[in-house]
Amino acid sequence: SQHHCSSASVNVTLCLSQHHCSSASVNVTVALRRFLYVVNLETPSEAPRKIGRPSKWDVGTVQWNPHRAESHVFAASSNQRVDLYTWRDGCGEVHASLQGHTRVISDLDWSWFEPEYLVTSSVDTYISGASQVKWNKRNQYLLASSHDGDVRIWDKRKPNTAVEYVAAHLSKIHGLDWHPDNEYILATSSQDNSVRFWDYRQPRKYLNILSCQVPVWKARYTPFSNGLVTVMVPQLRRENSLLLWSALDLNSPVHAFVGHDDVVLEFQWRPQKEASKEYQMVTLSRDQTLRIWRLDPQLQKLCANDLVEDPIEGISLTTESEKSLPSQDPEPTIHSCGLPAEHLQDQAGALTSGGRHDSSALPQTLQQEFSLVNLQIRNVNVEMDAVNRSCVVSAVFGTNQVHLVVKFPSHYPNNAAPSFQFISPTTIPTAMRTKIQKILTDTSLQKVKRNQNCLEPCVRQLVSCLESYMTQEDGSAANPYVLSNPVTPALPAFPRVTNTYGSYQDANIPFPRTSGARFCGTGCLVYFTRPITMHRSVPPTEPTPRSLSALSAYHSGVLTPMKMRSESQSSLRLYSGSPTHTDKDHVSISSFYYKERKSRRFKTKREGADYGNRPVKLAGKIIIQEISCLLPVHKALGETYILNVNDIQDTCQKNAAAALVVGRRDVVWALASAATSLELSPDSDPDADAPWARHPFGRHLLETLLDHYSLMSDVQTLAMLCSVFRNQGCSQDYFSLYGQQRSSLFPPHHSRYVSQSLYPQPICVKGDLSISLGRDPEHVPPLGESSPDDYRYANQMYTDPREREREQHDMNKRLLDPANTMQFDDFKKCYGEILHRWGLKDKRAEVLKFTSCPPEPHKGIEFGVYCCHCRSQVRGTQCAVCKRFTFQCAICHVAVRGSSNFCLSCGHGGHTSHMMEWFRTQDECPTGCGCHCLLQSTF
Amino acid sequence: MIHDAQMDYYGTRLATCSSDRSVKIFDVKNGGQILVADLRGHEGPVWQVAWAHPMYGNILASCSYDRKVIIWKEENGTWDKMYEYTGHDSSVNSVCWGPYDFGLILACGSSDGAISLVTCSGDQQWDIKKISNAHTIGCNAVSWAPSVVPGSLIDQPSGQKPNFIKRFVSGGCDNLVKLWKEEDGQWKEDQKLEAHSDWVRDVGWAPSIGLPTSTIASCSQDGRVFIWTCDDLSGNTWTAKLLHKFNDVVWHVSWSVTGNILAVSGGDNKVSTHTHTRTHIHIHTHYTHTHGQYTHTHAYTLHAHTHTYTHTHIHAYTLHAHTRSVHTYTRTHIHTYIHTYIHAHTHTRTHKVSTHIHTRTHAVSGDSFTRQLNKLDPQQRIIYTT
Repeated sequence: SQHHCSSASVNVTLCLSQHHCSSASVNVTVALRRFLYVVNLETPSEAPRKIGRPSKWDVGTVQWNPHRAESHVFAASSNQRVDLYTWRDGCGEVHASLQGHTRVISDLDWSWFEPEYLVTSSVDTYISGASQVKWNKRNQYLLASSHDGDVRIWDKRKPNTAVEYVAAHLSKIHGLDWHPDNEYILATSSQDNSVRFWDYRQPRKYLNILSCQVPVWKARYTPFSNGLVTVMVPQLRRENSLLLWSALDLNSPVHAFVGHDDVVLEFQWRPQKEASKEYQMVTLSRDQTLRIWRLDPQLQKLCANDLVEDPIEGISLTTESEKSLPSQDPEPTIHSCGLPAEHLQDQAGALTSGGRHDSSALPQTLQQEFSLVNLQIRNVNVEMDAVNRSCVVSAVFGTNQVHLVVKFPSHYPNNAAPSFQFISPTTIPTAMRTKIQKILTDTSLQKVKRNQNCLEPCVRQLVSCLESYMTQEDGSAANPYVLSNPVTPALPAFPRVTNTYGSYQDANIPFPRTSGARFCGTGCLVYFTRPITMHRSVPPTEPTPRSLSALSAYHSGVLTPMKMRSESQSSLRLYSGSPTHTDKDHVSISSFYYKERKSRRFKTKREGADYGNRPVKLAGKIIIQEISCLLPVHKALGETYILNVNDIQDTCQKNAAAALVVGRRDVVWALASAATSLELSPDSDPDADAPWARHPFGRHLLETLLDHYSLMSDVQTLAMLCSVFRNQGCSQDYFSLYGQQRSSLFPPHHSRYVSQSLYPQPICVKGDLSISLGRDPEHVPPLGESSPDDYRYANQMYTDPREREREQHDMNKRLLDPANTMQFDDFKKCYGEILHRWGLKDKRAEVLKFTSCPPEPHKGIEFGVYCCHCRSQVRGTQCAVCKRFTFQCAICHVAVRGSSNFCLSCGHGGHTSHMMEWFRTQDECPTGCGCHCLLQSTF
Repeated sequence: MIHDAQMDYYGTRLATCSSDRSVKIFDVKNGGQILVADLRGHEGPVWQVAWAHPMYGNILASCSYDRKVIIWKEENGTWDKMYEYTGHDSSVNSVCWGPYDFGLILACGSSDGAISLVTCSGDQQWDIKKISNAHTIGCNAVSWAPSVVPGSLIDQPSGQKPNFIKRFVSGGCDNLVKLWKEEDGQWKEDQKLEAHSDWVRDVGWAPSIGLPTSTIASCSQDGRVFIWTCDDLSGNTWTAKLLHKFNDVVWHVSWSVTGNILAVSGGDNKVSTHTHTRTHIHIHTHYTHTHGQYTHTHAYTLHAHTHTYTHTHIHAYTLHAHTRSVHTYTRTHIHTYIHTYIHAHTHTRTHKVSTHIHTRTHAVSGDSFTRQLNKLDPQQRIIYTT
């Protein structure tokens, strides 16, 4: 199984010796798990030299010493150790081992200035989680290291603190490279799909950004000016992942290096030969080939081309080179190296090292796809049958088995998706099958729409589904089925828990809340706290820090950096290659609370068996506490309170009883009952006795009652009281009265608009015309209560003193002060909302029935022409939809344009002159529809 | 680590968000807990969630460290991204949906100092308005004013429907609480409230029950919780009252539905003398008297201890009640004792409404309060999230 594992996470490192060895050869070192291979590029056909390694650990990084005098030395990291090899006469041996790190070494770099200096980075505690480290190429003291999304700049002479922090990316930085000529500038490439360029003296703002659609694995400056080579992590294999850019124009790549059949794992620059103007780049791909690319001066010029400075020349140069490019395309020296093949072969399985195809064409036939597809996934077996256009995918996950038949239609992949069917013995539940089937169909459709092959994405999708299903099923975080999935790291559901906090730019982000309480719904308090196991790493006398950036202080020393880095390690294992064990605990902001966690766990383990097997929860409890008893409103009362308009007395008594049931000995309902009794009902004659409302126990009592409940925020009682007393004092049926009132408020002006209309002819009229048409010419005095608007209106409009007195009396006899109606309405609306939350919609409607509604504002009348045949709105005389005349004159049957008249009742009409003439003698509609137009409207 | 938990309008579903970049939705009807959805889409810790009013459907907004605001919608039982807003340059710390009368409108406060107002103008069209540099350094919290703002309604010209004035409050790293108002489609700073001496961590505009008083609670890194009230109809005079000064940061305030109880939560707290305290949640009940001032400080302190034993201490200071002391012991199933102390202390009345009402008040509220306290049994449902 060890061997199997190694194939899943092959670790390949490539390093070129920078100087000619004594034998004037250039060496490439390729590190595989157990061996280091040294290839002499001068004689690539020769069998590579092998250096055996006794260690069980993978080789991390290999680098030749760049100095001429020491060019026979190279350093290779292996777990926590660096081995220095000496290469002489075709064989190499370890002459020194450097030990000091307590964790896996993630990167190493020889100094450009002093041959005896080597820097190594590790995820141990000295520098928290450094994944990359690079010496400055211009300044012998400066170093840059990457820490997840941050870059720190160090001075060799001042190792205690970093010179500068650059919060470079939101996600992990995969690559770091200093500018070859400028000591302040560096480029970072990251998981967040971008390459950014920085002047570390200005750490807050990047100089430039190169946005890519996919994560960027490495970005390195070219040895010649202004160039940049990037390696992407492509979503699909066979995409061009190796690109050359000009740093001056990041909109599109200068050149794509086409040829590798698989992901490019590593690339290096070959030292320039003397008197040669061209540069060479060596790439190592997972397709088991080493390739050497020549970058001729033409291509170099394209990178250096400053289009901004000299646009005309630039353009002409570009076009020229485009023409000439095909012929001068960097010819890769294909070197199907036999060296890793014997190892890679068992990893790549069916793919033979020499299995070359036309590298530019996508596999179009099923057979081609089958032969090219890379499905080396653990526990998954795919039997492909190109003749029958089908394949069987079998996967075994723990106790579950899945067998899936994929059938490819004849048009595939040209917009024809394959079908997926589970066959026995598949052990996953039906619901899961349906879900997977849907996911697979979606995935395949996405691909075939673009005429792309879909087998591999589908299988990988299937695996990720099964994987998450398994995780769900066994419920524990420990998932033994770690799949290396380097090509599509964007596969869903990677629990990404990297911690990118604590960087410089977090200084103004508040420290996250780890507890909180929130009132929700009507009677719930939801509160959450820190998990039991989380304790603060600082003494409790120290206050909680203000901003998120304070977290960085707690990182180093306190937190095991390994835990923070778990995600990137698992998703990109092949690349980073560190065989670090990945802790599955998801730790994030916890670093602040981390320290005691360990001891706590330890303690509980000691304490007793009932804690021992319980997984430590990293998320705290959320407690939903019923607190409705603290609230002034009561759900049971909401259900039992009634509002019977016709019998207020009864309503009050029943409500009093309901209140008593829930333990409220509220006197308010008794008071209400007394105040609404018939004996106290006001006389309609203003000259009779003063209404009860004027009595101290009348309106005044009610007001104080309302004040009291307002004080208690008891909106329930408030709304009920307002509703009960709403009808008090008005004998008329409120609703019918209201309708009349509303119409009376509008001045009778609408008819004028109609007759003066210059619009062609409205057959339908938008707007609230019914008000004017159904208008009752008589003024109806607004009796009873209504909104204060009406009240004001009344005062303004009626000059008759008797009317006024009557009006005044109507206001006076009400127990609720009409001036506050709006507020009372608000009580009811608020209570209505609460009832809604309780789900008591009928009760809500009952209460809301008692709100006064101010008349709808008159929107004004707007005419529009609608086609009488198809009812669509038209402009002009012809309907754009049905091409008929929108408005024909009823007399002459010609389309009407200009002055027109029509009947508002039947909608017929025509030219004004024709209509005038017709109605001079007739009173019925000229169409014979039977409408008495003259009587129906004010026409 | 959970950063926010919020239930929907009806109190049937719970949304939580966490530093593991996920937003989870639980069905918590009838005491159960079923994971309904696990929403993935954020690339950083998710700070806050907010449910929209149900009349727009089941919509949830979440904001994150990754500078994104994602609006999720449930359709046919599945949750999907409805809209993703990426207009901020730094962590988005707070999201809040406006009252439903304003339409589907979301306010987002970000550490880039800006506040965005994202409005759904129907049919998947989203309209963005951004207040740049609303708070220097950063904005930490936003909260909408209730749509029912009394006073503004009374003075409406006759015959017109009340024209809702959209207002919200925000708090930021400039130690200020700011009030914003929409005028002619433009957002303008209406008021600037100054009292805190450190970053304002949260603001909460109390729900209105129709009374002519606006109330805002604000809390800060300096441990102070202020209650701001405004009685005048124009909304220009705000008076601050210090509710309490805690010894550590206070990062969340929340009002009850009737706007008379405030829950306050923050970092570790040394006000308490209990040695095992971890997290304290304080619930403050306050009453307004006729002049709109607050006559006492705090009412309940609910300490949730996360230890082998969970203690819940509730200190109650009530305004009108007789001295009472109630002890309730309840045991829940997970090695947890809920230990509830309720102390009710007498406070002297500082104001008089009228003698007549006074006696009645005394009888009613004192009595009903005892009833409430008696009934305070922690019907707890405990949810574990992983």
